[in-house]
Amino acid sequence: MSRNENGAILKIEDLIKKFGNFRALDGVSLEVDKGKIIGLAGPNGSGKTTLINVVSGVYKSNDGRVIFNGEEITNIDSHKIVHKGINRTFQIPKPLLGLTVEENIRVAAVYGAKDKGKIEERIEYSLSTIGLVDLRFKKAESLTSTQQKLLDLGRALATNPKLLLVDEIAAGLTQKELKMIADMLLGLKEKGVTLMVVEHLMGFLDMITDEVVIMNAGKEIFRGSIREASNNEEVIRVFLGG
Amino acid sequence: MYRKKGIIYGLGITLLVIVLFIFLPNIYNNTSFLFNLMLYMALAEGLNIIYGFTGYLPFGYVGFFGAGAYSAALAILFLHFPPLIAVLVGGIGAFLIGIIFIPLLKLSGAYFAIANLAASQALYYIVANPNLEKITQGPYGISLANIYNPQVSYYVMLSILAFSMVTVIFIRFSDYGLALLSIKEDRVSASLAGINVPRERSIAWGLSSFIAGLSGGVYAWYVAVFYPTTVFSLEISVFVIVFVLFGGIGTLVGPLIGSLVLYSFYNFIGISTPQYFQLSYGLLIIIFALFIPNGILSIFEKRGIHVP
Amino acid sequence: MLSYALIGGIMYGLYFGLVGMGLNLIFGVMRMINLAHGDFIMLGAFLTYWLYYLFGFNPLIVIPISIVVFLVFGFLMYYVFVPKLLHSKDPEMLSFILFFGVSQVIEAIIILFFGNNQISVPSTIFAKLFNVSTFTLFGNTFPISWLVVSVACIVAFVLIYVYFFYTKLGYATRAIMANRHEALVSGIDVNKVSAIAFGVGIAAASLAGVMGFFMIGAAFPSMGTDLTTISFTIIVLGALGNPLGTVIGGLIYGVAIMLMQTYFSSWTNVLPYLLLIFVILIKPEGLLGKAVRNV
Repeated sequence: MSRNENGAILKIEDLIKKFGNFRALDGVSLEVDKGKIIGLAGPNGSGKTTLINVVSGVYKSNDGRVIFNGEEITNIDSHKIVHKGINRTFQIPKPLLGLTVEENIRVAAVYGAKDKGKIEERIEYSLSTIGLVDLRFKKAESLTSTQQKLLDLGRALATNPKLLLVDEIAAGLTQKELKMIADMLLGLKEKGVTLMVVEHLMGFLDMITDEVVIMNAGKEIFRGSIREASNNEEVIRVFLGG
Repeated sequence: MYRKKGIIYGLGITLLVIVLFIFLPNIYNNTSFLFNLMLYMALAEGLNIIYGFTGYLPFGYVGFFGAGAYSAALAILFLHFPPLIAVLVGGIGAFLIGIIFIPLLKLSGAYFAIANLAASQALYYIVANPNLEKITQGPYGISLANIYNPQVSYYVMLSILAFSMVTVIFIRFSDYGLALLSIKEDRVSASLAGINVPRERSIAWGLSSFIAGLSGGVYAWYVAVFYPTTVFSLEISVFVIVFVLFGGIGTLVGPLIGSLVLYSFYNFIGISTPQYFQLSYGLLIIIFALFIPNGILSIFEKRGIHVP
Repeated sequence: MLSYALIGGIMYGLYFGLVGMGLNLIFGVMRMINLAHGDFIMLGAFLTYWLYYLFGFNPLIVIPISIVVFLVFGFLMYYVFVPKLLHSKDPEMLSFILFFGVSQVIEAIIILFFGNNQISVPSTIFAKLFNVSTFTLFGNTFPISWLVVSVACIVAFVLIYVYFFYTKLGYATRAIMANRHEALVSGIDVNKVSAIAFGVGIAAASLAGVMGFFMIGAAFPSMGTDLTTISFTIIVLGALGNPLGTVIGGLIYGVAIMLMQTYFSSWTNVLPYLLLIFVILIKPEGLLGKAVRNV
């Protein structure tokens, strides 16, 4: 281990999540270093989204531990996890459809951050970061799916996250939109936010990540740069389905 | 800005309602109709808090009303409380029942509605059980004849209505209301916006049950004689739900309009020929569910006219 | 006492299995709670009463008539309401409210035609037909009508079983229950199959109404709400969305009611409601069911 152990903002230890007899997470352990963007890839059903769901409190794990900033947060409720400084986006965005764009952001800004000051500022910051200032009074249900993804991200940002879990945001985007989102995520990193990005598109991961973790069958099988990954035999075997 | 304006309009409407109900008895002598209208308006606003903002359809809402009526009556009969305090006891009694029912909020959609219906029926069968005659008088009903006072209880009802309206105004135009609407939209997204979903919805549930309990308490005082079948009648839940649906959920004015129009209609044909009334409100429910699920106020909203 | 309660409870339970059957079938296929379910039971009872006093029909003759009438009615009702509901934002909640409206309309119409009265057919009707009034099982004597109803219920369950597992239609119905969208993609005429299932559900409810006089006594226009709640209890006790699980739910319910009536009779009324709340909080998909929550 060459990485700086003290720099880990998130530590996942032997996490197990079962659905009936199926082990979606089969004792996965990994660490995310503070201030970095880590990519998370792997074939369908390898447990990437489940991992995000467990870390963000949407699912409860069966065993193992999640440690954030040195504090154990395993299986505590989502809103508490949000208050600790973790947030996430959804693969299929889940904005509050009946509310306006601004209301979506506002409710997160008011309820999501520990620091109750500067609410209006945080709303404006989130709206301008995701570029939906002009649509602030539109209902979320009238947005395009790309705009809904951005709103989902905006909701997360309004809670002032230190760690942001991004679940397959690039799927279905145009090349121009991809570039825009990549810049946005890199901008967040500049501001000190740590990111874990689940993604299928290796090109997208290559644009933004410092390191990638490859998962298969609920476990980490590789960690390193994308270049190394593409030369790793096990990774190749897993992706080719051999 | 929008919120400030909403609160001002809302309080203005509340004032108007108060003034109207103070003066109406002078020109319209059917005060029992006016009392019941206020009662249904207050219940409709109370149900609106939990259904309109949070999306839980409380089919057993009448359970709180009945619990309030009985708590108040028992406080008068056994503890010899003055009626005004007894009404408050009614509110608290219903609130406590609400706390017992909090686990039901884990359910969603129709599951919640049915479980809540079952809960209110269970309450009814317990209160009306002949084995409890020494406490609740069982099925034989309650008589509070010696404190009968329709004048004072009329104004107490009016204050409860005003209280329910002010509660709805502050929910509708506050961040708390936004949190409740978020829970209604999607519980997972709401909790990822940092909302403590179980806590916020329980508060709304508590407020909603408290208003129904106060209404039940003052009803017990106003009528002075009642039976378990009257105050636990499913018809009360049904009326209130339909009134709210008709007017428009999640607004201040919708439940008032729904109660005014439909309860007047009920008074007009419902008492003499209840089956025609039942038929027409059954049809109304079908039409609203199919074509206007958000109530008549939504028609204005669509044209860009905002109603508080 | 105990053996009477148990045997009687089983016969009672078979009947209550039929009471809950239609609600569960419709829930399984449409994921909708037919809040007018109890009112269709009531309609079945009124049809029986009407045909008995007008033409002297025995309830056994009413059974096929009732099945045909309500199958067609349910089939048509599906097309009027359900496709539109399925396209709405919140089908589960809206259908719940809509069927509540339907229940009010049915109740009002029955009161308009028959008045707000209790009705019944003579309980000796089967005794006269078969020339015996009671039968004895393990030393306990029961009215012959209970046996007739139990047999009719078992026949109904067998027919539903055959429809489900031995016909093409049943295969398609089960496919829709498993996944409506995939069934649509694989070329099943989802609306038609669902409409038939809806009709079968309504017909099963009406059948419970035909038999009701002999098990739960007189019928009256506002009996529907309680029956809907009881049916819901039964399907939650069994398995939500699995029609044949209803039989188990009915049996549990029937035996529980009989035991209550034998030992704590004054609290029998509360039992179904407490049972429902208890089960729904612990295992909302039903005691024997797989997870179908949040669908």
